[in-house]
Amino acid sequence: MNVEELIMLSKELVAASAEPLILSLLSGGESYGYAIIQEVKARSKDRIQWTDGMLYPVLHRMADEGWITSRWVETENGRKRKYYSIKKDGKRALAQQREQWLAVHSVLAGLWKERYV
Amino acid sequence: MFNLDQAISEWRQQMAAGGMKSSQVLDELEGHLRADTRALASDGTPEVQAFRLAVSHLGGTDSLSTEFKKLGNTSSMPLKIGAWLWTGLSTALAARLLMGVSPGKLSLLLSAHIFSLTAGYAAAFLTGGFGVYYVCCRWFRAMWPTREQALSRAVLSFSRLSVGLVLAGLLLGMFWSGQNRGGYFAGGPREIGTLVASVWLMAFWLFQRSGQVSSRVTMLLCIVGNMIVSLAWFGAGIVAHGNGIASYWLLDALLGFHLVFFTMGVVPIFKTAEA
Repeated sequence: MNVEELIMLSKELVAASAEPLILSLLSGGESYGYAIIQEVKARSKDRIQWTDGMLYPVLHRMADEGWITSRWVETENGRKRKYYSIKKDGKRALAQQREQWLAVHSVLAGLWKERYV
Repeated sequence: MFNLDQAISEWRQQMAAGGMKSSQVLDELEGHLRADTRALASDGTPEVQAFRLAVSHLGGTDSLSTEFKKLGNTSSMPLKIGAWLWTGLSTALAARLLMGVSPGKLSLLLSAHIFSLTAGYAAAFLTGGFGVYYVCCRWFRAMWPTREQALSRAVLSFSRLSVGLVLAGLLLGMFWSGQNRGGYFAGGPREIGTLVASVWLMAFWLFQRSGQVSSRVTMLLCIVGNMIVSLAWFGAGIVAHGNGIASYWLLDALLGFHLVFFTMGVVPIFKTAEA
């Protein structure tokens, strides 16, 4: 395990990145809460640790905002599972948030390049 | 011996006792709990331990309940208040109109026309009310983004409602006019007023739906919308009859009131507060 893998993201950064992460994942296809958490864990190499239950209020708020929609699907074992998918407004919100994150990234990258090169 | 179904049933009872009453939310969380328990157990963890770990991953009743309550309080409060107000007004109006229906005096078609238009205008006035509320909040203090978004969503919902009802009212009025006056559109002040209000409400709704406007512009347009609807409704009434609810005093008061808040919304101090 290298040093990079040990660095955990701060609570504030995790909270701020929740919406763009969820929207980005859902733009690849519909998914459900547990799968979203596992995907984020895997992609961040466990550096993004959500308290599992906190994801659901975020999903519900995003549904209220009209960014995502949900539907209940019956699984193989006969139980219901709630799947979320992105809506047109969500794609628009993702595009806006992407611009904002890229702007921050570009400023920081520029500053750090000046300082460390 | 550990029974997962029983453990989950007890967990649901605890959550419900802690304030998590929605069965849909509990179903969703239960699905998560089962998936996590299954994943942990498949790695060799005994089921009882896997379940306890899954519960701890999900978070405590208090923290979950608080997060969901916050969601309910901030995201849909303007919509709830508006919905209660509008439902109360519309129910009272519907009851009054239904009591007055009688052959030769007030037909069902005319009642439906009056109801659709009045309820539609009331929904439009509520969006203007949200605009006034927004200006008041922003004039004195910053507004949380979640509250701002909630207000925008409430405006969009009531705009949709007002467009539907006013257009329905316009069509019903045309049918009534066709049956009773020999023509669908007489071109009188009231018809023209309704047509102007319909065009404005439709344009505003499409404008909002495009998502290309800021919350501030949307809220200021809500206030402008109230002035347009006031002129289209009360102004047209004054031209047509010159008395009753459509009095100069009421129209002047409405226009003045909204003009004050619109001005408050565009002056530089407002911009400073927003930044």
